[in-house]
Amino acid sequence: MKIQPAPEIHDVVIIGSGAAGGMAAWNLTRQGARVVLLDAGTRFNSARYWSHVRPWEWRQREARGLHPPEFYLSAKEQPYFTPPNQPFELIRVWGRGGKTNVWGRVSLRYSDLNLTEPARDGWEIPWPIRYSDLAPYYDKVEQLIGVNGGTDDQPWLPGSRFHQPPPNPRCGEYLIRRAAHQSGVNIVAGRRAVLTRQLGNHPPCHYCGGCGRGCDIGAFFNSSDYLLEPALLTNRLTILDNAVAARILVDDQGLASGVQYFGRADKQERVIRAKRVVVAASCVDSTRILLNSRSPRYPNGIGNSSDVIGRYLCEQIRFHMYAFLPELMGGPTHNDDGISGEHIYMPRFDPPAGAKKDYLRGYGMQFWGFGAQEGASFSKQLPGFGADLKQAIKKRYPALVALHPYGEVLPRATNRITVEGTPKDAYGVPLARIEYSIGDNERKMAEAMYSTCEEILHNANAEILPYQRGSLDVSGGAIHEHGTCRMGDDPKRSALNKYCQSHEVKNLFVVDGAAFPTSTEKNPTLTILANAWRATDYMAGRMKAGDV
Amino acid sequence: MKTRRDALRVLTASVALPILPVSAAPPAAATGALSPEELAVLARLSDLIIPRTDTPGAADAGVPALIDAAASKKQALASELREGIASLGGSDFLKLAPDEQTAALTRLASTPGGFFQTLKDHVIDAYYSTREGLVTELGYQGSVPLASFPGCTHPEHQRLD
Repeated sequence: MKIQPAPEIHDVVIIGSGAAGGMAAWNLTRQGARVVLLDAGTRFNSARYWSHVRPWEWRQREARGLHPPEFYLSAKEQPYFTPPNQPFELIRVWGRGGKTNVWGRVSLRYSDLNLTEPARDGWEIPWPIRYSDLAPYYDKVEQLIGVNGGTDDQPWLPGSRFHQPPPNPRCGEYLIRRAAHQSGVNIVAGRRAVLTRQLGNHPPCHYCGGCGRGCDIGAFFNSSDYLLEPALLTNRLTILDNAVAARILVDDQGLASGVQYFGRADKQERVIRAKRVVVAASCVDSTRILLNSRSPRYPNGIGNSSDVIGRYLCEQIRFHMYAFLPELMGGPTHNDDGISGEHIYMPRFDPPAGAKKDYLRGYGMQFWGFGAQEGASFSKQLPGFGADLKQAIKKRYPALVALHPYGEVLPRATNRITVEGTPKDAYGVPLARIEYSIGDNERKMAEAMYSTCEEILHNANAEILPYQRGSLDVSGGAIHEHGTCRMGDDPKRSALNKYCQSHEVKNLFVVDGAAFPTSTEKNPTLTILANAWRATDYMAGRMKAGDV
Repeated sequence: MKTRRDALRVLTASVALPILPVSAAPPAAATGALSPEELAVLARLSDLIIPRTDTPGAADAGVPALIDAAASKKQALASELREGIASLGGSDFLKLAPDEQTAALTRLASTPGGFFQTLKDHVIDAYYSTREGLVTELGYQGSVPLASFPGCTHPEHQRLD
């Protein structure tokens, strides 16, 4: 019998390379830890992005046999399951930097009002942290990654100290700001992780509008360029490409001892040993890994004696209204690309005193897609055909505005991710089943969201494209999944303590959006970064003290 | 509440369609799905929807070939186009006088959804994804690196009251 050498035991293994995993790797390596990071894909080559390719050039390239970079994981390669008539759209990026390569870049701090709201309204568990816990980390994250924005803080949108200058709004955005103002609704400068000034070796935005196709110059935060590359320079980080994490392993004491993973290319099983495990594979995949990590000690999944892991999945409701502003109809076409996406934002606001509010929580609004676009899909909804239609389209093209409200969905135990009895993936690991639906609270909120949109557009004398009041995007469309491995003070009702450390398994941390007890109405990435920094600061402290 | 909604000026059409994301460019040209005769009718129909004016029309911009290429990758679309073209008389449609062609399309358009909307959707997606439709007709200037972004330069747009 051949004696195998003892495998190397690393300080930390991190699963996932997006905002959460990248931050964990960056923060832990700079504090001296030796870290191995499992990434389910490889590094994307920004020199080959099709950032500036226009539609007809896109076709010419494809006719020559060229292909754009494939950011998104195919559901054919890695399926997930939903009950009939309960669709859920799950967007995943397997590859270095994860979804931050193509994210929407909206960077909004959560207000203390967000974090204390469950305690005020009594729906499900409160957040175990307050704004004062996050604020110093928000400060540091914004300086590290570069966030542009105004100085126009609102009760529901604090903390504008470290913003780079915001881009000037487009014509339609100023007009919508005025229309909202007429109803007493404040519109502020957008807050986005797009550089409007040089930041270290990262150049500022050149306003090509191609963010969604990947930024060829890295002018918006992505975890690979902004976190993992600096972390690699410490020589304390090893990244394993194409390493698809399957299960977290446990030792005789019930502590995490490493990760079983599979080569995405060769399908071979491998094991990596570590003294601590950080899970950051994004909400659904992190949850799948935890639930699949069954052992005699943890028959319900690692750290899941409370049976909360997988439950309380909460995302956001969303819809879109399109309209044309009379001041801009028939006017000149401008280059409206800007930093891509809106330059303004409607923060959540409290209804006026005495006004009816028949739902819990609330909503904010985004405004991407104003003015000149790479297409005119809106015109399918204009009546008729011929020269009149062609003229009607040209007249409206510079005048397009688009309202996109995002509303918080309450956490519910029945909205859950499970792995029991599901088919297995190519590596023999059970796939995720997502059961998710909204309730009356969200339907009532949607009514209020529609009323606000209608009121703003009415104030603007806008010509509104046809819409069905009450209709919503397919669930999952906001790509803001939360709640399935939530933080809390009560170990019976939460999986993690306030530092994202498993209540049961002290050397296991989950630092992505799964840890958030609520979804809020906001885009979460800035808070994921701040919270992962905070959690791994705690972790590094416990490592130095020798008790993790 | 109701009066406020009723006061909104809303266009008369049925269901809201999502606006396509930037990346959803039509597929590359490939071997077509339609016969030369069908393609000739499709070209005429495309031009009836987006005609040549002082700017190029749909056929000038190569729209029929783009739709044909899309149909070659999507059997349901190919069938709908073939059936729709046949319902208009196939090649005989081309023998009609222009005002008769317009009248036939007007009758088709009076039925919500169906072949007319499919045709119109595809002509619009294709035409406004070409240089002719997007740049020549609509004046699109984007997708290019700029040294700075001016944004709105109109004081009358920027006032709050």
